[in-house]
Amino acid sequence: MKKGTDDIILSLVLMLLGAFAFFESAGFPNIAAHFPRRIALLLILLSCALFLVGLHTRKKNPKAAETDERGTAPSYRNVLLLAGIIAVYILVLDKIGYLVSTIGLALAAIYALGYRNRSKAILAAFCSALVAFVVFRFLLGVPLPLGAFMDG
Amino acid sequence: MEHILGAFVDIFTPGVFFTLLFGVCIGLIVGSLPGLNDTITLAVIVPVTFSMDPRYAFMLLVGVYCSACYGGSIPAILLKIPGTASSVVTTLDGYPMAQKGQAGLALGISTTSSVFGGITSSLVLMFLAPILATYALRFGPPEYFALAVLGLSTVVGMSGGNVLKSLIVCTLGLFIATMGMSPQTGYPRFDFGNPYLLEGIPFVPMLIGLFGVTSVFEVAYEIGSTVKEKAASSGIPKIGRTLPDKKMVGRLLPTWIKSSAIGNIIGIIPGAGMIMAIYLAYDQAVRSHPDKEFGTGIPEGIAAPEAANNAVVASSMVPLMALGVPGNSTSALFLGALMIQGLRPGPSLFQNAPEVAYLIIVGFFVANLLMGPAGILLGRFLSGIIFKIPKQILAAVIALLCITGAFAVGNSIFNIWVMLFFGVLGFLFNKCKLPHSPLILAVVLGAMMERGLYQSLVLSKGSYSIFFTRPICLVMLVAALLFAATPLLKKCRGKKTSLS
Repeated sequence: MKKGTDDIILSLVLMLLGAFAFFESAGFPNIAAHFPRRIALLLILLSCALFLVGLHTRKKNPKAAETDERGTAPSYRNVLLLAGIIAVYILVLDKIGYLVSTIGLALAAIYALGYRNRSKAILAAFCSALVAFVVFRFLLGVPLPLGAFMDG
Repeated sequence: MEHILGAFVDIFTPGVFFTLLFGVCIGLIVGSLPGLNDTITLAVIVPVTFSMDPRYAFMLLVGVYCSACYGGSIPAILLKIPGTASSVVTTLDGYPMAQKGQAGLALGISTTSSVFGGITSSLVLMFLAPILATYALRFGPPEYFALAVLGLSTVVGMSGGNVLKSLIVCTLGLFIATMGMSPQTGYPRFDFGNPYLLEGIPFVPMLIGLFGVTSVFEVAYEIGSTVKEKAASSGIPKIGRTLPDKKMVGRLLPTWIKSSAIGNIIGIIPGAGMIMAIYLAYDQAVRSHPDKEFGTGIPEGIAAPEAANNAVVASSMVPLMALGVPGNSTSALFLGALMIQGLRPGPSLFQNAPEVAYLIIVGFFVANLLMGPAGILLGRFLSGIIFKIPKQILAAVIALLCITGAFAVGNSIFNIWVMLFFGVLGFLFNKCKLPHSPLILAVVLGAMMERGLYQSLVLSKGSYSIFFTRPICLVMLVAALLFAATPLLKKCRGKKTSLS
């Protein structure tokens, strides 16, 4: 990807966000809208400046960047996989309870990141989840969800 | 003075003392693990402190904060892998010294330099914060508005990176700060019908996401990346004698004094950051010793960055304790901890809860004294065991702790979603080279700025002249302008130098 394209994409996203904030705050009462509208306008202005900077960078560097500083597909895949694992965890947390879902989370995360020593992975997942459960629930009194397996 | 003495008495009660010591040891361990640092650790620990006695809670946080920066120097010296970003420069002379068979001396110099820097910093906090707090009691809405502007302009001006991107991130932070009920009218803004957003974005889960989860994503990215890091040379060098002798101490004292001064000044300025202090201190040491070849194991090359980075630690708490403005991202987490305990940082903290305020201040002093022996003793243990933990397991454990911590803050699953969102956002920020600290500071200062602006305009019946007719306010606005103009001035000076 050409240099400056990142900045152009980012500026367009921010301009959209600024526009959304500006129009959304149009429905607020005058005093409540005062500050957010000005922030939204500032965001739009700064995004326009970033857009121009991005264009200028592209013009100055017409060739694509020779060294690709971004990672390859596997490195972003790891991040997406981990984010997906955490999202699934959040969805099932209430239903199956903290202990079971956290052991699953830790195991899935360790495996997804490429660690293949099964016994150490299971031991690490089990111990860390159990220690966290004991510390937070019993020592600190945080009402962690018990879920269907442990509740009643 | 009686408050300080009272805090010393409090801190030597067994429970408080051992909590502080425990925090120091945790900080050493996590600081020495590459991928973990004080900010991530505090992000995980802060929600845990919710149900703790405030004295134990803050001593734990103080211990971790103090020693994590120093802990990063251990793998930097032994393995050429900085444990924290603040130890990058220590690698330059620390590792070569260890390779020459002086690993113990390198660790000893790092320890004593960190203790020196940390103690000067805690003394600055001890005497400056209360004085600043008494002045801050005279602040009215215009001064609070100007303070918020000053805080944000220092972040932008001193960031050292792309000013436009820092401004954009700042503005994003101000936008996030407007979410929730309007402070003037109570009207819900940008809540999207979600009752959890009525009080705005939950602060601590946001910080956990931005620091803890982002670092986990970075580890995941690094593991999958085809860019391989260069392996450090074989094994961990043998650690012999650690403490520097009297002659070495005499030699390093001028470096310690100058580097600590740099660290303290930078630490007090919100947004200036530890990295700036370290590079300035190292640069100063190089200029002061033109006859020495830095990068080959020169003691001053270790002493300067280590004294500077620990000098930033307690001094970064000065603006937080005195004015309610966090000096950096880590002290922003202290802000979260104080809020969780129902305390408000700023001048009112010294009035309403002086025992807590002075305990924190004295805690930094004592933690630095404990850090020295703990570092000397633990350094050997850390090199043998902790460094061997696989990154994948470390990442999973950090993720687990972040999630549990985020949930614990409000017993709400929504907080975990917030944590995940900001974890992804923080990762994207890194890829787009957007800095994090302007976002945090803007979220913290946004509410102060809006409230100050609105109340000032009510006082002045809509006239903006109120900001220019009050002396303290005017001075702060002028200082803000100067800080904001710093990058432009630097650019002009750079052009002049290249022309000449």
